[in-house]
Amino acid sequence: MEMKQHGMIAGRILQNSIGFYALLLIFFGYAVAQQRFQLRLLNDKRYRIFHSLAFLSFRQLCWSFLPVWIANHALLLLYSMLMTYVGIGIDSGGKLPILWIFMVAIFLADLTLTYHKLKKPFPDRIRMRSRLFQNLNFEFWFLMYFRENRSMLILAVKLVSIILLNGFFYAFHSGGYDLRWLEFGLLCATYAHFPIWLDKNDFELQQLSYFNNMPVSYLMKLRQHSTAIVLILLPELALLVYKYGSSETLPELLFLLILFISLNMGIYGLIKLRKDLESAINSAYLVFFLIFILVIFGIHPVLISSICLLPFLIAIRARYSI
Amino acid sequence: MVRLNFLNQVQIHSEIQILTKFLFKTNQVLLLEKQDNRHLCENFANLCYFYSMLEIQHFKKSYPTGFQIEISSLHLRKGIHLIKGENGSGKSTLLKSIAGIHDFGGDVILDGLSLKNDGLAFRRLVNYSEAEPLFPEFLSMDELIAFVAKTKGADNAQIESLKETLGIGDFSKNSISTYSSGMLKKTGLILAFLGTPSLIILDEPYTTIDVGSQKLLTELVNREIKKGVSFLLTSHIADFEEFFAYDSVLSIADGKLAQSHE
Repeated sequence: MEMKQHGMIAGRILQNSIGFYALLLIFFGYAVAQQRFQLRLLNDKRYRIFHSLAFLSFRQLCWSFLPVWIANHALLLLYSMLMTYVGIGIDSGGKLPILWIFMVAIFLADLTLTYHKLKKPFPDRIRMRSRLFQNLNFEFWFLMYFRENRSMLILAVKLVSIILLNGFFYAFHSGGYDLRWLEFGLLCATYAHFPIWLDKNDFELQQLSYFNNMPVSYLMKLRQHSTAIVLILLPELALLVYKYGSSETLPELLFLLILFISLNMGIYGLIKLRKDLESAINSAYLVFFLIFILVIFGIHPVLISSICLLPFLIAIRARYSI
Repeated sequence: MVRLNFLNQVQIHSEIQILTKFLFKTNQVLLLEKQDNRHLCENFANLCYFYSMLEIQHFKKSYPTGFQIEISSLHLRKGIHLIKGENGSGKSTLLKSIAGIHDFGGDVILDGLSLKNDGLAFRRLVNYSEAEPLFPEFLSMDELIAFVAKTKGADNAQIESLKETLGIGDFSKNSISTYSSGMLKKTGLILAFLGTPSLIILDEPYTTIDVGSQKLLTELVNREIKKGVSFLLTSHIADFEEFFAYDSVLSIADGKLAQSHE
């Protein structure tokens, strides 16, 4: 969207009371989520040193935390500034002062809560495992890691991926597109999963490095990684079956399922093979366009899948890879 | 002790190889009687050298900071060896490389198996315990043991015996996030004794565990030595050299290894 369009939306929000207060509610929800995340971080073993902030007076805490608060709420502040800029020229009905009083109130409430929480002892937390999954096999470790540490990330990725795929299916079913449109949609949904595969690689490098000492055969590695990847992709695979599953389209559905799994495996393999994040991202850009060209030229999905599987198969074969 | 008269008993090269392998596996001392056949004696000596338990060849590991560890050649026979060194000298890097956790230049050979060429078989023979174990916090000790036991080939009897020896109790069912540093260390130690390794590498095994557990660990190590398992240890404890009768004591400083005594 262009700046002009952002400005128009901001103007509409200011002129509509329901829209304005809905926006304030969204800001409030963001601030609450941010506060909860920060408190959880403060109580994490690695960041308990920051409890030394409890020795500061409220005023000192406000000053030292101000840059942190501004950085964490930059989105809200930037949008408020845009609304102020737009609101000055139009009749906003006194909403601009309300907006800024609200922002200041959020800041004070945030700092007050942090100030009081810091003075209390660390909360006791006991991790309870569900009876269904008492003993986790290796294939499920990554899923559990996501559930424990990155639940927001996986939710966000799944949301983006499902909405994206739904959009592609909607366009496909309205007619005028062939299977290549869906293949392109799967490619886009794969790239929505890029942060997940980055995280998987980081998790294995940092928390599972000890297990490089384990004599794990290639087949066992293949099984472990494939199971973890398929489990992560289950929602999209279910959506594919739901939207495209019928007796007439069964072969195409199978190709699409294999293609989606292979694309994700390929991206993961690429990330594992690259030494650093920057080279992984650069390679990912290049690979996106290569696969896009293969899709456009109607190369069979099975052939594309085979090409995509190569980095995955090579990466997990590596000597220093769990 | 095996006493040989070359001219009468050992005639061909293949017999020398078989005999040398037998001697090393059974940890016997070979007394050579040098007779006129000097060439045969030299062959024997070379083969004894060749069949050392652990061999490090042209080891090189560099870090982006510029720190580098270089070991051109190291041969360690079966037994227990101590590596001493200050913080940041490269001990843990060396041990992790031998355990197959970090990549490095050169090769490590254990009982004739090369880490570079026979990675899977090599890793079955080498177990490792980190100085500061790091495991996913949501896992329990039992889950870690289950995975390691599956890959290293340990059975339930061995697992229960080790848990009893190290005084684990019911802690093994709880998640790692609830463990003290001592219990975390015991987790790493228990994993290092699973299976049937030829070499167990223990990095700072006595830090953070209580005195009672230290005694139990000493007994466990001595028991495994009698079974023929070799050990590579590091420690900062002042009188650690008196804990065991080491076959060699090595010092590592500025990325270079030196043998203090044998």
